[in-house]
Amino acid sequence: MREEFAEIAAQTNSLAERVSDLIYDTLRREISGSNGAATANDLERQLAKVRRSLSKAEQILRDLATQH
Amino acid sequence: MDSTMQDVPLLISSIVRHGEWLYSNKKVFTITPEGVQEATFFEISKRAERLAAALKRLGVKPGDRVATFQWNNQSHMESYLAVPSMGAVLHTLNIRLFPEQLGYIVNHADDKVIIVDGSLIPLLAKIKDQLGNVKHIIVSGPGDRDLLGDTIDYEELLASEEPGFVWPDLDERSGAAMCYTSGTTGNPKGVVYSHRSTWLHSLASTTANSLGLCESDRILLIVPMFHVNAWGCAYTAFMAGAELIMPQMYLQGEPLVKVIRDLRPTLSLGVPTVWNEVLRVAEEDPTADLSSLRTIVAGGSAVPRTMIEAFRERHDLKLIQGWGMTETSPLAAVSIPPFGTPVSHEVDYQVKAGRIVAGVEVRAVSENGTVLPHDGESVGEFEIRGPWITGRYFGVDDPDKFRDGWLRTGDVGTLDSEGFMVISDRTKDVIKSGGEWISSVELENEVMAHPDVFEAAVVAVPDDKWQERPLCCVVLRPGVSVSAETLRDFLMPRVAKWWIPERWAFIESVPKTSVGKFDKKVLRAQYGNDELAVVTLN
Repeated sequence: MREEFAEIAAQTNSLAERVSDLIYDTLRREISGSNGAATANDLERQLAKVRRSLSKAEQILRDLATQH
Repeated sequence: MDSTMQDVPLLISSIVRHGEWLYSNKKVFTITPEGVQEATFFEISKRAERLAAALKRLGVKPGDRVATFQWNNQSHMESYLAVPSMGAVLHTLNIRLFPEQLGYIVNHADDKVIIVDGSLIPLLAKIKDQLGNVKHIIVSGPGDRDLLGDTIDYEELLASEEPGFVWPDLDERSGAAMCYTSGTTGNPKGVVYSHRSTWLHSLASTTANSLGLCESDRILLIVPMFHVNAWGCAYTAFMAGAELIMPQMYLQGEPLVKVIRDLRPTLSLGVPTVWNEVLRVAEEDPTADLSSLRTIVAGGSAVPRTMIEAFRERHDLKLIQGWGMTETSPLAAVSIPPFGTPVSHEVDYQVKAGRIVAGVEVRAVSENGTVLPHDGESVGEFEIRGPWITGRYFGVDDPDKFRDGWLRTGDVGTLDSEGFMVISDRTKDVIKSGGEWISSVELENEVMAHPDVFEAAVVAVPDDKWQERPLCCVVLRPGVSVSAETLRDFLMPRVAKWWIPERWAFIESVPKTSVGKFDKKVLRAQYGNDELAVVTLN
C-alpha cells in the first residue's frame, strides 16, 4: 500500500504542476493581451481551486504512505 | 567665490513630507473588483511610515533593494514613498517579463525583499527557485499564497507597526530607485535613479512647458508603475498635490473609458496602443465622456497624426507626446506647440517627439561623430545629457552607449531651431535601401492614416538588389478587407516612390514588447522563418 500511495501522490503532484502551468499561461495571456490588459478571470480562480485541491490530496496521500 | 545658498539635499522624503502636509486631503483612487478604494495623501504617508518601520524590522538596510511586482495601486504607491525615503532602493519589476528575464533581473539587482500583488503570485511563483537571495516575500491582497511558500501578509505587516518612522538624512546622490531596460537585445540593463535626479525630474514635470502638473490635476496613471517610475508621475503628484487614479489590471478600453467618465481625471498618460483602444471604445459607447481631460500624454512609441487629429476633432482633446527612455528618468521632451502657434498648425508640432525640457541637453550626431546643426533636416542619432540622465548602467559596462559624457539614445532623427525633436527611427530599425535611409516610423504613420488600418509595423528585410527593403505588416480593423494594392495606391501621393514597400503581410496583431512598443525583432524573425504570408507587388 505504501508504495501505491506514494506513486499516486507523485502523480497528483504532477497534475498539480500541470494545473499551475495552466494558471500561469492564463494569467500571462491576460496581461500580455491587447494593451497588456488583464481582468480577474473566473477560469484562473477555478484553476487555482483545482490546484489547491490537488495539493491537499497529495499531502493526504503522502501522510497515508507514511502511516501504512 | 562660493555661493551663500544652503546645501540642503534633494530627498524623496522631502516630497513625501510636502505632500503629506500641504495636500493631506488629496486622494489616491484605486480601481478594485469591489469598486473604487480611496485613501488620502496623509493616510498613505502614514502607512508608508509603517511600511518603512516593518521593512527595517525585517532587516532591510540602506542601499538594499526592495522590489515590487505589482499593478498600479495604493500599496505600490506606499512602497514608492517608503522604500527610498528609508534609504533603501525601490526596484520595480516588470510583470510582463518572461520568467528567464525576470529571474535574471531579480538576481542581478540582488533584491532582498519582493512585495507582490496576490493576483500576480502565479507569475512570480514561476521563478521561485531562482529567488535565492530574496529573504522575504510580502503579499498584498488575496491570492494563491502557498505557491510561493513562506510569505508575509502586507496588511498584517503594517498593522504590527506604528506610524512615526523618522526618515533618515541621506546623500542626495545615493540610489533611490532602479529600473531595467526592456532588453529587446541582450539582457536587460539596470539604471539607478538618485534622490537628486528623481527630485529634479519631478520638479521638471510640474513646469508649464512640460506636463504642468499641479494641484488642480487628477492623473489617471495608465502607464505602469514598473515602467520608468510611472514616467515620474507618482512623485510629481505628491510634490504638486495632484490626485492619482490607479487602474490596477483594468487597462482595456472599456473600463478606462468608464473610469474617465466616472472619476473625471484631468490628465492621463499611456502608450499609443492604449489611446487607440480608448478612442475606439469612446466612439462606440454613447455614455463615454472624455471632457474632464485637459491633456493626454502618449509615450513609448510614435503617435500617428491620425490619432492626434481624431482626439482633437471628435473629443476636443489635446494629445501630446513625451519622449524619453528608462535611461532618462524618462521625461526629456514634450510636444507642446510653441507659444503663438495658430490652432490650425498645432498638430504639426504635436506629431513631433517633443521639445527639449529645460534641464537636459540633446544633440544629433552623424555616423562619423559630427555634431549636426539644428536645421530640422540633418539626420543623426540623438545624444543626451543632464541631471536625470544616466551616466552608466548598474553592474554592466557598455561603453558603446556613451560618448564624452553623453548618452547615445539609439533614436535617429532631426533637431530644429526651436528645440523640437523628430524621430525617424531607432538605429536598429532604420531601413538602408540603396544607400538611402527609409524611416520605418514615417511609413507606419502614413499606412495607419488609412481608415481601415488599425495598426502597421514596418521592418527591414534583406533584398538582393537594394540591400534592404521595407516589409509592411498590417493589422486591419475588424470586419474590413483591403488589398495590398489599395494600401500601396494610398501611399503613392504620401511618400517618396522608392519608399513604397513591395512586400506586405496582413497579420492579426503587431507583437509588442513588455512595455507596449512594437516588437520588430519578432516580425523580422517571423519573416526569416517564412512564418508570414507575404504578398509581393511588382
